[in-house]
Amino acid sequence: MHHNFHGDAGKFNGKVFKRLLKVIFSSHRGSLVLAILGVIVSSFAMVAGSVFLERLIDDYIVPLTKSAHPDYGPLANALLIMAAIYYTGVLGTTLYSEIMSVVGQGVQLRIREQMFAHMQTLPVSYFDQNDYGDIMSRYTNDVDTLMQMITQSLPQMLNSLMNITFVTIAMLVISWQLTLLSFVIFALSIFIVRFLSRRSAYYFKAQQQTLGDVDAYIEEMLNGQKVVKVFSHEKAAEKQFDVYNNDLETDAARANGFATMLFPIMGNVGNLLYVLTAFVGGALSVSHTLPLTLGAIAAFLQLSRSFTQPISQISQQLNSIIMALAGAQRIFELLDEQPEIDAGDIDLVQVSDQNGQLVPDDQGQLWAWVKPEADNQASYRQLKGHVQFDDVDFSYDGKHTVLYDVSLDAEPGQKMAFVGATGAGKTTITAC
Amino acid sequence: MVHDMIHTLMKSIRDAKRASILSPLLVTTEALVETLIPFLMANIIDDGITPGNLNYILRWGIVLIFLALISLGSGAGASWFSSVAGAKFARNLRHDLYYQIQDFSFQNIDHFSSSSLVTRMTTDVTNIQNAYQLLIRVAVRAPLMLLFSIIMAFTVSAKLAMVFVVAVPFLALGLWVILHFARPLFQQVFHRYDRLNRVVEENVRGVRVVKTYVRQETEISKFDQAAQAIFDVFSKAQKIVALNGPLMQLVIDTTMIGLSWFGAKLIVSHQLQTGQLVSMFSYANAIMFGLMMLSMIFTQLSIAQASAERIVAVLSEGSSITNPAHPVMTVENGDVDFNHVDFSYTGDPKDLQLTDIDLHIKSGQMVGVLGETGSGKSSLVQLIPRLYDATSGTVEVADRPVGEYDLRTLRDNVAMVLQNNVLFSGTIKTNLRWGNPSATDEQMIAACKLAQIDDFVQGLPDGYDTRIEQNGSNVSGGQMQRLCIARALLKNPKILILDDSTSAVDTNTDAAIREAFHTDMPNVTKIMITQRIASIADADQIVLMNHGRIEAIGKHKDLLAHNQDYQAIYKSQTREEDAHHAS
Repeated sequence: MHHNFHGDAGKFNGKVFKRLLKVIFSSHRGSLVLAILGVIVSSFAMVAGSVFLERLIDDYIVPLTKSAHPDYGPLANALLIMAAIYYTGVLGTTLYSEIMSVVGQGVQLRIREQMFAHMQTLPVSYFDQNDYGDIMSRYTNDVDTLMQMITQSLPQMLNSLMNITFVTIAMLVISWQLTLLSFVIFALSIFIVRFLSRRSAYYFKAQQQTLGDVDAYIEEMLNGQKVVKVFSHEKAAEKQFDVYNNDLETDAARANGFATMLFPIMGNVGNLLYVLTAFVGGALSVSHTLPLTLGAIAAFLQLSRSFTQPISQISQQLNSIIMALAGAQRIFELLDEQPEIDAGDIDLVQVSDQNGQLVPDDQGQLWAWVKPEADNQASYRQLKGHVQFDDVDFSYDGKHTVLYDVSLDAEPGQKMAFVGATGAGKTTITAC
Repeated sequence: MVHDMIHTLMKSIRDAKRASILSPLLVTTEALVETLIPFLMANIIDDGITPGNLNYILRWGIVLIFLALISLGSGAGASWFSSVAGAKFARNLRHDLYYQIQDFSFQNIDHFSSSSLVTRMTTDVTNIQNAYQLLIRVAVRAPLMLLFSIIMAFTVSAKLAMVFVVAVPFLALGLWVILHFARPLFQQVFHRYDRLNRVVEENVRGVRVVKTYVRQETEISKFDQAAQAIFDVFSKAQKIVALNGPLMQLVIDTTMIGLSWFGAKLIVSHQLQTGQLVSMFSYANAIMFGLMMLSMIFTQLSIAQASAERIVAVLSEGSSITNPAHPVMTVENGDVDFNHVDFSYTGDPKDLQLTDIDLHIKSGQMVGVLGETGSGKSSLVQLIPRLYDATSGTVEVADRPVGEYDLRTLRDNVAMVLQNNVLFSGTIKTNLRWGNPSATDEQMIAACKLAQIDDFVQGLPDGYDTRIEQNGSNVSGGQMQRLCIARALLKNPKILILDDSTSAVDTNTDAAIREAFHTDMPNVTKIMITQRIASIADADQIVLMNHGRIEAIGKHKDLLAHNQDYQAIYKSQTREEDAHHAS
């Protein structure tokens, strides 16, 4: 059910994103504010934990090693405070994870219901012009990826952004020189991410095309498999299939290759930054170029890990958001489809005959057409089954006319037969 | 059973083998180097930074940068090769599935619907591809990272590593509980999706019925119920799964506090150094993350298992019709004989579609087959080109059982126009060439003239090079049927079977086609299944089928004189004719 999409899926569609946010916010404003608060608390606690390492070493462990009768009271107090901060963070994470999964499900339910109710108002021509599988996948795949985006990508994206912000602030506070080093690595990361996602995007697009070719070929040939057998056409069908299949293999290998490479590369760029921080920080501190404490270096090491991680996460989340927006656009397209216009104001009601006058009556034996007239009056005409066509032209798609100048008059009780070759328009007349 | 399944799938690895070995090797290197880095970092802090030994820092710093680069290279390499291996494996699976399906008999094709075969070749193969990629990289990496990190943690400080001994089972248990409660819910979700899909399908496919009977309100409430049912279970499942993140954070944070407290004590009592404590923080992250990955891998692989089963079901389905060991390569003439043939689609003698068929047709004869829907007309003729095998009795062509012929030879000589026929996307020419790949333009025109479709084709702007859309959607039913007949004629067969293949062709053209067959193909045996007596009134034999048995065989005159059912059909059809003429 879930496609593993990596790489750039296309352009970020701001218009659809705005409309989507409106849909989400319109019904869950309160819970969303809570969720955002949860994200901020969670990411603050994470960064506070790393920063605490500096104080743990410099303010508690180092003094303790120097004292003859170590007193663990202050350390215990500090750890209790840390625990409080940590667990508040855990609460924040729980809060936003739970809220967003409920919001995601709620939006999923509501959008599905809207889609279906709206689909019922669409004219038959919509179903003629749109493939069944295509309509179907809007209800399942598109709504699903949208839900995934709301429950996972959106909060994680926000979380990653908050992390980068807090981490940068914390790093700057500890040492702006080492932060500068991190920024160099940061720039390098952005460069790598862009390079890899561009390459993979290119091949994903190619893969989309070859996958479509393979799908279409399989579908057509397997539907006509009995004909293939009757004509002993198996060998030729295999040869053509191999051509498509091999193309798909090449594109899939490259698309996936560039996309999955992103994670180990970014992870190890993180390692590189970690090592470089220790190397440079250690060298600067030992040579007394910079007044860096042991605790500061340790805390910075911990922070540098949290610095590179969000970058690959953001690039990954951004891609799934773009994918989901493409789905959202298809959903909105269905919702924006013009409904069948019911401009007719004539209704069919049950009536009874009272002294030659037709009067509305739920228990009435007769049916009548009711047409509203001026001054809230209405005129009734008994339903008899008289059908008239007056110079009717008709086209299914607005381009190709199927019926020309059809005029006919079917009196009540009359039996009328339509004769003609296939494609003459017999069924079309009855559908009018 | 799982073993057999894996064995079958592994046959499709073939040229993906090299990449499939390289990926785990490289990822092992990456995991090894990556767990080594925090250990060496601890040394730099404790023996370089703390005592102020610049030389030490420089020396080991360079080693570490070098190691980080190795880790980067092997990690990227593993990703690349796992993708290559996954793509090649998927390609081989699609190839094997497709070739297997080409060998399928009609019976095999009936067993799997074509839409289910399409899903198996697309969605299921993609699932396997993702799982395979996961298996040769992440599924190797996660347990190794876990193992190496635990070993390193114990190497650094066995005492402090006891914190992990407490924390790891706690997290493992938590992840297991989440999985345990969420899994059955997700399975329910899948079932409820089926219901939703059904409602949408009914409404999209049957939109005309829904509109005509003004059933919108009922359908909407039916859909809302189905969507609500998904919401109920899905949100429960999601709420449970959403606990994964907080749980992980809770355990890591508690571990950090434990490490800080006990670490501080160990440092003060000179059993641990500051750098070592920092490395323990790194191992804590690696261990917990490894566990989390394991639970994810487990979920992913169980999703793929269902796909694997569906693929293996196709791969291990033996074709029920195969070529004989010493096939006969020529068909001498167009004689067809059925000798007391019984036939059942399922092979079950209690569930026969044809019973005791005894029918003898001479070369060049024209035979009409008549009967109600389900009377066994199509089953009868499908035995001749061996689309199915008779359950008992023998079917012979040119005095040899059909099973003795090379399948291709037999089917080239027995041309059959199926009831549900299709054209393929391409031009009219490429479609016609299915009958004969080397057919010349003249031969194609001749075949189309016989099938009374040449005038139509010549009248098209692009003539014989006109494009045919998928499923022949741009030609009418009658035109498609005639093109299909022309395609069959190009085989230059000894026996031609038309299974209700002129149903959408008007009566005059139908008669013209029969006339052409009669004069231009006198030696070809012609068997026509039809609903219209008029189409076969001049046949050499008319076979009247009833409930899988031959009720009567004879010429039109004889049947009309002696068979009541035949008289009844004739009467009903002539009345219709009269009615038509009257209007």
